Order: sequence, then structure tokens, then C-alpha cells
Amino acid sequence: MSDPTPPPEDERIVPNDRESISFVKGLVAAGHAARLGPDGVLPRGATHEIVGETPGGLPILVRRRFGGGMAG
Amino acid sequence: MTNGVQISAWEDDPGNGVPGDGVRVTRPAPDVGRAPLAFSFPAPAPAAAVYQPGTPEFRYWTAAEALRRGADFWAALVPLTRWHIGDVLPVLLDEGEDLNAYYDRQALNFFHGDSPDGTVYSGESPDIICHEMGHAILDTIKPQLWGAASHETAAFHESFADISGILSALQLPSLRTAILADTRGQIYRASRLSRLAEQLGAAIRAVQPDAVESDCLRNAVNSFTYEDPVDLPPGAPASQLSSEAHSFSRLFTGAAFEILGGLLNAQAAGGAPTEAQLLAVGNDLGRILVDAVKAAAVVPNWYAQVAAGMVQTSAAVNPAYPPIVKAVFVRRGILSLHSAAQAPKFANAVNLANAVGVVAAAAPSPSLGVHLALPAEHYGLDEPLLVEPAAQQRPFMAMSAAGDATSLQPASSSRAATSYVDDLFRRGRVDYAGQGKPEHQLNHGRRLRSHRVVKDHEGLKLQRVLFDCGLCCR
Repeated sequence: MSDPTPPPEDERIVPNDRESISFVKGLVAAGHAARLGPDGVLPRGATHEIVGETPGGLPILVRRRFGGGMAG
Repeated sequence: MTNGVQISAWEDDPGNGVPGDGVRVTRPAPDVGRAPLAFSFPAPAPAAAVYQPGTPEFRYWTAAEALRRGADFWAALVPLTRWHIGDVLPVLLDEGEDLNAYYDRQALNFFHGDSPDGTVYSGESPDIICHEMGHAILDTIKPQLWGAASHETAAFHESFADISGILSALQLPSLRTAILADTRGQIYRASRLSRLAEQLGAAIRAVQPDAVESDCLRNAVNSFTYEDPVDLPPGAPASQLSSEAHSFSRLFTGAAFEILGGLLNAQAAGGAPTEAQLLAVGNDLGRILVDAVKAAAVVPNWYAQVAAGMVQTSAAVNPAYPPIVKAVFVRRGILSLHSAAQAPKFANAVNLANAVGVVAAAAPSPSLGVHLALPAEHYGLDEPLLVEPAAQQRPFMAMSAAGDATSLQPASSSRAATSYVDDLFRRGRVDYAGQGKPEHQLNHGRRLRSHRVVKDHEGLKLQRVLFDCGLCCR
């Protein structure tokens, strides 16, 4: 199931310090961050939806699920 | 109505290396719609009865039994009356083809996929069922973790979910008896309890051999120690830690499982542990963990926050527990010696500000002839510990290489001595020999000690007792 409702501001993950930049880059590298597909559904392997972009080009994310990467 | 009717279900994950050879148990038919922590399934439930493995009916009742058992455990322990998302948590047992499962704040979602032994259903494994339900439990206890931009909080969610699988499994008397027999009472050994999701692990291994462990998806018996996840690669083979949440989760899960073994040994007090004691320490670990999670601030070094909280909360459960909990977290590097020593409940008011300094020693040859006085409060000793530093003059300068191939400046003799002695205490290699206060010390259980603390006219000294091959330390 996916949740297309806009996230509250305080649930948005904005990469703006060492920890959050590392976290976001790790999700992108693992394929766990993605935009919604044409059908409005987040791809199965993703845990986070890309909802925007920082001026520096890094994605702004919102968690949509846990467990999307059982294999780690 | 399901009163009095029996169903058949997997006792734990059905994959144990032999296709179709999982352990089945007969259990009372569960009421999945019962509050607190009710579940709903989209399709009508099959009639409660004993079905054969491989049928949709058997998979339904296996999932229902595991969910009810796990939810009842956490609902009573935390306690909880409802899910984060409301009174009822939907369960979708087969959402299509994928080797996966997830919790998305709307439902527990499970899938099916190919494996060398046929089709694998993630919703057929009690390990995976109780893992995903564990996410929903933690989300209810600490919803602030959901969106935290932190490696450690994300990894902890996976760890808590794996611990949920383990502690929910321990609610089955038949499994407790079997595990005690399989491990001869030493729970911190690889077993069906420590191995999580063997069947899904085998299916993933067939596709990507280094993505999972050799005998399961993740094993709670491991030797990982703390590294700052910010400095770890984002991905790595299963044999190594990465900052990826499932990978990094194994460190905390390993520590928690090791603590479980330590608590059981303490309860058994040298005898053979009973299945009732195993149930009791499983419940104790759950309570200690939950209380620590509730109290912890959501910060990047979340592991240390929870670990320190567990040291503190364990005292309220059983005064014998804190030294065991501290020892594991220190050994794993999740807590520093100082952090463990300064867990609020055990803070020692003794001021050792004047404790550091090199003092003349009367020790005869063949010792190095000088002693360094190290602050020893964090080791659980009441006065400074005199150690022999490696302080002889260097005939030439030799340096080790850092990860980037540059030279590392050698540590000063005092820093090297501190690091060395810290390691001895962290690894449980020092026999306190009755010195200090036991409640301030690390209880590493039965380990081969290479050093002991002795007291003479100058004070407490660290003496080597033996050298060993080092293969029996964990």
C-alpha cells in the first residue's frame, strides 16, 4: 500500500548536516529512495519517497514504510 | 468463534535447510480481531482447523497465530491498547511477487517469490511476521523515530523488529524447550532462535549470495562491534557492517541477544536453565528495552542513548542485571567504558581528579620499573589502578598506517596504557579478585582472565596472569 497524502513538514528529511546528508546518500545509493511511479505508488524496494530537492541537489525525503529492504 | 478449536502452524521460520521440514505446532485458534492490538484481514478467515503446509489456509493460520502471540506479548509488556494508526492494523498476506515484507503505517504487507525450493511466502514465516509487527509496535511506542534522519534510529527500528521476532518466539513453550536442548542451555549460540528468516534468506542467497548470511537472513549471534555509521560504506557484503539499516541493525541485535544469554545465566545461577527462566528473562529483556526506548532522546547516537537507558532500567528489573548489560554494551563498543560507568544510576561520586600521574614504583625487576596510575572508577574500582606502561625509550620511530595509508602517530605511553587497559576490561579479561564493588563492575560471565587486580602497600595493581591464544573470548 502507498500513502499519497502530503507529509507534514516535520516528517520531511532535509539533508542539511553531516548525519542527515550521509543518511540520505545511503538511501539513494541503496535504491531505497524513489519518486512515486506513474500509478502513484512507491516502488516496492523503496522506503522513502523523494518529495523535493535541496539547493545543493540532494533529494528531500519522506519515510513511507519500514522493511522495504529485507535483504539489507 | 474459535474457542477450543485447534489449528496447525509453523513454530518458527519454516526454512531450516531441508525443504518442507519446518517444525509444526498445534495451537488454540487465535482471535486476530481481539483488542488490544487487533488485526484485520481483507478476505474472510478460513475455518479454524488443522491444515496441511503449502495451503493458503495453513499460511493464514500460521500468520494469525504468530501475530496474536506477538501482539499479546507486547500489549501486556509495554503496555499498549492500540496501534499508532488506530485500533486495528490491517494485514495483507500476499501482495504479489517480491522477496520482501514491510510495514507502511497502513498495513503489514507480505509477498511471495521464487526460491530453489519452490515458492516462498514471507507471510508464512513467524520470524518475518513478528519482525514486521515489531515495526508497528515500536512505531506505537516511539513514533518520533519514523522520520528521523539518522542511520542509528533507522537501524534500531530493524533491530527492534528482529528482537520482536525473537521475544515473540520465546512465548512458545515448545520452542523454549527445544532451544534449551539444542544449545545445552547456552542461549547465545547459533540456533533456530538466533537465526532469523532462514527460508527468505535462502531465496535471496540464490539470487545474491553475499546479500544475506550463510544460514539465514540475519543471525543474532555475531561479533560486530561499533563503528560510526557515518564513516561506514552505504552497502557491504553480509559479512561486514555497512550504514544500511538492516546491516547496521545486526550490531544492536547481537548485543541484545548476548544480554539475553547473560541474563539467563544469571537466573540459572550455575545450574541448567529452565524454560520458565528463559521465558522470564525474555520478558525482562523486553521490559528493559521498552523502558529505555521510552526514555531515550531521539539523537544521532541513538544506540548509546538506548544502551545507557537499558543499563539504568535493568536495575529496576533485577539488581543483578546492570553489570551484565553494561559488560555487553562495552564489549560491543556501543557504550564507552566511561559512558557505562556514568550511567546515572551507577554514577560514582568519588572525585578522581587527582588520580592521574606517574608515581615511582618499588616493583622489582623484571618489571619496567615504573607505574602509571590510571583513573579506575569506570572499571568499577574504588581507587586508581597502577599499571606498567610501555615507557622505554624508542630506538627508532615506527608508525602504523591509517585507512588512507598515511602514518598514524604512535600513542604516548600513557595513552597506549589507557587504551590497552580499557580493552582488557571491555573484553572481560581482568579478574577483579574481590577488589572494588561488584555492583559497579562489568560482569562478563565465565571468561578466561589474562590479568588480575591485586592490592599491595602501594595500592591496586594490574598483574598479568597468563597469555592465551585468544580464541575463547566471545
